[in-house]
Amino acid sequence: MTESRDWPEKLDPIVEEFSACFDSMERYELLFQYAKRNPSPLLPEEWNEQNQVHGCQSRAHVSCSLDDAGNFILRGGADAQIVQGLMAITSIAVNGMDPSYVSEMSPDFAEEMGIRSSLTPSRANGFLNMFKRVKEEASLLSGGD
Amino acid sequence: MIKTVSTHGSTFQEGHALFETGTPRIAEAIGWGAAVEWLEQFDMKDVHSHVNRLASWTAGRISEIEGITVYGDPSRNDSSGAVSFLHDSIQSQDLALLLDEGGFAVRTGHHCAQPLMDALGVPSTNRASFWLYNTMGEAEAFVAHLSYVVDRFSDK
Repeated sequence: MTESRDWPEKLDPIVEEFSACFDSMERYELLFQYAKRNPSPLLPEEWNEQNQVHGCQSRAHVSCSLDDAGNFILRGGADAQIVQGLMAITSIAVNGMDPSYVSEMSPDFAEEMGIRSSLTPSRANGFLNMFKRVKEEASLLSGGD
Repeated sequence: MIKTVSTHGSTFQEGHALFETGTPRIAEAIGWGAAVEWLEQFDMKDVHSHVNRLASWTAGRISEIEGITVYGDPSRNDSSGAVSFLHDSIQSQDLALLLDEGGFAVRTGHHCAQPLMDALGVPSTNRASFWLYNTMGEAEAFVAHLSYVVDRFSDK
């Protein structure tokens, strides 16, 4: 994988999987598959105003916490599969990591996967808003400001 | 709009004039005039028939695609060229994005008509709109791409 990688190593196979896609339709198909196997979903009955990510075109909610060992846990849910897929991949990236690491993480992996360039500007901004929210919560959970 | 401006303060117009600032919409007015002039070569009854034919044909074809529900009846003579629809497993924003990949721009969301969405029992719809400049070939291509997207992305 790239020398300048700015994401957890466990994301490398996924980044490679996406960057090997033939076209954007294949990338969307893969995102739909990841949406269906979100490792830590936030179910619709848990969605509320507090955990809603504003600035997303679709309804999107995230909940961040620490496990018993103090590692970061992201749970996310969205009504759109493409957003849900992005959340699933973000969860794979950040879950189990130190919250201070998550608070400094870059969303560049989405660029490398070829996803961000496929998204409409409003969708890309929605993803960045979600990612920013996760980083802010990670910063709070790590004892930062 | 202001009445007076000085380095010590400003006074403003009253009523609606307070909010009417800047250059009037000159370019828009010229563009509007050109559009009206162009449209005058057509008989609007013919335009309506053309649009109605495209919309009703499209609504009929897409209602045969598994999972698609069409809202409204574009075949009615008083109907516009809008065809509103929703798929039962592909969320409307996702569907719009996938249609966009085929070169088809559709409106998505509640269309600023939440009470209607509530009455229909849906959160949103997709809406394809036809008009004078659209062709039957484009309608056929739209149906073909929607069918392809549903085959590839629906849960079934």
